Amino acid sequence: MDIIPYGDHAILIKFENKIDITVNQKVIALSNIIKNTKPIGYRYCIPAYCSLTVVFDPLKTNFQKLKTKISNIQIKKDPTKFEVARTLSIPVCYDNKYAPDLKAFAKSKSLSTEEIISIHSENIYHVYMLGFLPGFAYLGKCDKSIKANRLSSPRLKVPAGSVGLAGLQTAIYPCESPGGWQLIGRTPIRIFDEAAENPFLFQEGDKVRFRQISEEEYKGLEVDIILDNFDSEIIIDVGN
Amino acid sequence: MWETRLEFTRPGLQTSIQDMGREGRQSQGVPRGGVMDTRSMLIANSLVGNAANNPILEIALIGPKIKVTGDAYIAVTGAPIDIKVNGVSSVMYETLHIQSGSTIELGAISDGARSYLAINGEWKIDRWQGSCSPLPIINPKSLLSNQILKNSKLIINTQKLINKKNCPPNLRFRFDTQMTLSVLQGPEFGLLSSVNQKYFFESAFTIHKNSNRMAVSMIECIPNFENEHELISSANLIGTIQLTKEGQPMILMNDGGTTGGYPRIANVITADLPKIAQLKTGQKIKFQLVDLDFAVNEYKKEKELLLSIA
Repeated sequence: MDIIPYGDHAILIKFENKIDITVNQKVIALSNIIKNTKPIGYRYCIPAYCSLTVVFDPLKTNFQKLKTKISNIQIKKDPTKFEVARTLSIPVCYDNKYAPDLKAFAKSKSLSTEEIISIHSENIYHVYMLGFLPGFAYLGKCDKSIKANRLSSPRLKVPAGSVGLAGLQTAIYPCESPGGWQLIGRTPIRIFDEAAENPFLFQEGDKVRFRQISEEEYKGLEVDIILDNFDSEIIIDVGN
Repeated sequence: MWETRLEFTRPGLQTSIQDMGREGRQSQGVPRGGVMDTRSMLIANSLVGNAANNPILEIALIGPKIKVTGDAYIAVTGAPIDIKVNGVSSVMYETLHIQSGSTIELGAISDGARSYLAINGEWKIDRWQGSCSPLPIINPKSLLSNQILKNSKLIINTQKLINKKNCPPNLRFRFDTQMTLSVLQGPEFGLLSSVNQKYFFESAFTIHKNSNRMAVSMIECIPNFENEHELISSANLIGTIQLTKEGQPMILMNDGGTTGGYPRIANVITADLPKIAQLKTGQKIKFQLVDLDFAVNEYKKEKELLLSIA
């Protein structure tokens, strides 16, 4: 753990420089400890893959004091002890209509679209961090066989709910936005619901799996969600 | 107390309703948002008797034309902008009493980038997650009306104001053609070679026209900046200077992405952030390296100053 100043009102804690679940779980664990203990002058945490930024009030504390405080925090060695026990099961329709890049991507990998779908939906993913857009969760890692390049020119409009691939990461677009990830499916579930008290479905440390659904089921869920007949709790399995 | 109605017969180039933004949601991908020039905002709100975090109109480059029904108390601060009330020129940095039926017209900003229009009273507007500031790219429906368009309307419950005020000259915004921003070394400062560092601190940079509330960019790139590998995404802050692959410096601002993978070579000190808000296309700036003690001292001085205003 390397602790350095970041601007005049933040501290950056750098962990081992790699995308790795064990490293990321330490980031999340430390972030949660700091959030709960609220050292004097603490404002908020921004956890990322292998770094944690802690923003503070320079009128109430300083870099040295916080550094000492944070250095003294013990993160438990066994990563399983600080896992957040939530698994989300996200229904995804991989039909052509919702997967504009799937066919070409499968071809580029010399795999069938069915193979891509099963590789993508058999894995259990870890939410490393949120960023880029409100509620956008970086999920990983994908199986190496479906490692994807970003599109050479990003789309101006990616529909909300689109499931994309980039590198060894997969993600769901929380809202319509520009984007360069290869789109292989779509979920009717609202990842970002502005009207909800907590507008964001994902939080760092969550586990996520994708469940393949038909177009018919997709449309049914879409209607249920619009009519408010859908309880998002049913896709969340706590205490897995 | 009475109701004052404003109708924007001309919206201006980029006029939005802002407060100090929403803090602490960066870990969910939500930028802080909020006014770019906090100092000008606080002065304006204080001149009309509002609380510090009362919403305000942020006006970029070209101002709106507003029809006012019901008396209002207003104040305009920030970059110099032409103000006309019913066709008659008026002044900045003072409380103005606007009579019902008047038209306020704000013109073009010449020296600077943003002016602020504060209006006394309680603004009847929507908030989302604790702030009225609209988000970039993905703007929640409830915040759409806080982005001013032609014929936008705004309703304010006005409180009678007894004391008119004006702002001391030393607190007013002054345009400076030789702007220097104080910066601290950023987390990836070490990726700059000594030649790169010399260039960064000794050359003048020109503000790029593609500068906005997300980022203020420079035209010049740092020559021979070698950055082959993309970094693993980590948090950005307001005032973080990142370098693109070509070596172009970008200062991330209030609506900027919460995380990114470009090297963060420096951070503009907090006390200098209002200066960035006022940089205009083509203006020259320089960066000077300072240490953490200096930055924290300036931070404290600026906070004390702001507290004395609010």
